[in-house]
Amino acid sequence: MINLPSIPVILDIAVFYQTLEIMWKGVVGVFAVLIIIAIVVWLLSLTDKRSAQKDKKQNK
Amino acid sequence: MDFLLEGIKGITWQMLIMWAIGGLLIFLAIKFDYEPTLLLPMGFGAILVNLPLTGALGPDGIIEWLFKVGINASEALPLILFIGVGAMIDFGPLLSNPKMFLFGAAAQFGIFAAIAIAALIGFDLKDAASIGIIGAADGPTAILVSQQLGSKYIGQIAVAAYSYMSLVPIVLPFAIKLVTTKKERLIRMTYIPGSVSKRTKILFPIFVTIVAGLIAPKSVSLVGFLMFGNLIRECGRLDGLSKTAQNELANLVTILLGITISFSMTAKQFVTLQTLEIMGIGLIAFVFDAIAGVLFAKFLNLFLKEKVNPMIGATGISAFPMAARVVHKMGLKEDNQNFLLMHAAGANVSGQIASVVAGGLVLGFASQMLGL
Repeated sequence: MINLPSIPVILDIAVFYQTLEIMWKGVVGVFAVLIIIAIVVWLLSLTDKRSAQKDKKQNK
Repeated sequence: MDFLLEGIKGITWQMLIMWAIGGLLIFLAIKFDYEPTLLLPMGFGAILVNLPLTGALGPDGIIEWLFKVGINASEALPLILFIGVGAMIDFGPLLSNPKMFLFGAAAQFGIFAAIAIAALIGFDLKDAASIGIIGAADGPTAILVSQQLGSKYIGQIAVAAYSYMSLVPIVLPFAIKLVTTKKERLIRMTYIPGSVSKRTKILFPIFVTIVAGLIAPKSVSLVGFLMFGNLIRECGRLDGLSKTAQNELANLVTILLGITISFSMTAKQFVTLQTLEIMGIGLIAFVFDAIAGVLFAKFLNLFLKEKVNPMIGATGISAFPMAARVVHKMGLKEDNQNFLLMHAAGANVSGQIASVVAGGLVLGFASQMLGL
């Protein structure tokens, strides 16, 4: 019987799939958090502008 | 007279390599000013823990005690450092141009790519996820995530994260030039300084903490401490605390954090093939971060009337303020009237938030998968 040299299995497919899951969930998650924060900041800046205009009118 | 030779007899070739690595870190810190606040303590610590029969390790060793209390028990040191970092950051350029938030998100891709690459070459999930966080370009986040996931490579990860952060002036231009043309790098961006109210600056850290806490609960200690520091800065009532957080607190914790990390830099743990692999993956993560940011900026340009200089995308990494400065200089080099600093600073501070959110998300997903 011939003993063939064993090839070490480096890649664990299950782990690799888990990392792909982390990848897509992570990318979506980071964008979701930052987009929500950006919208909140934009809304705050709108209210800032409104109150600045109000102040201008009152000063006139 | 044997007692005089006991220590010398205990020296191994692996220890000598660690002394050389420690010496190199100290040299880089002093000679080239590469992240000296952390590389110098880490370099000295690497020598300290690799002396034969060292008293710094073991149940009564100071380094081991510092590691147990400051990092292992509750990740206190990296988290407290975040209060100082938060107090240092002015989010003004970002708040006056919320579009910049997107670049911070895009430039975290390197983290996820690095996790997949680490898994491809045989690291298990907890180590792959920890190694990927090198791409956050944020030392405390890398230390915290790798510690919470129980990675045995925390020392290598910390060294890689801080080394590459200091190499941003070399890595960033290389990555940017790979994916941009000269014409793109010449795109001018006008800066209209928008005033941000004090109310917005105060509400911002509170909202960020709530949003991050709701969507990525594991990130809340990281984001929360960062934002707590920022709230101290912006509230206008705690100037003394703000200055202390920015200077004394940050300096004290940095000294301890650097030398404490050396606990995991013993020759037995460090002189391995995996160390080289981790350093290689870390570099790939940084390059991928910058490339993803640039490509995202190019993608946005397809829809924008006023084009964005794609180099701004690369500043979405967390290394603040170095990334912004590097891109600003690159812009001036291409066109001496192209001032990108404020745009780059906006994207750069966005990267600071995005990197801790990404760290928290990776921590959450990996913990869930590992049943931690």
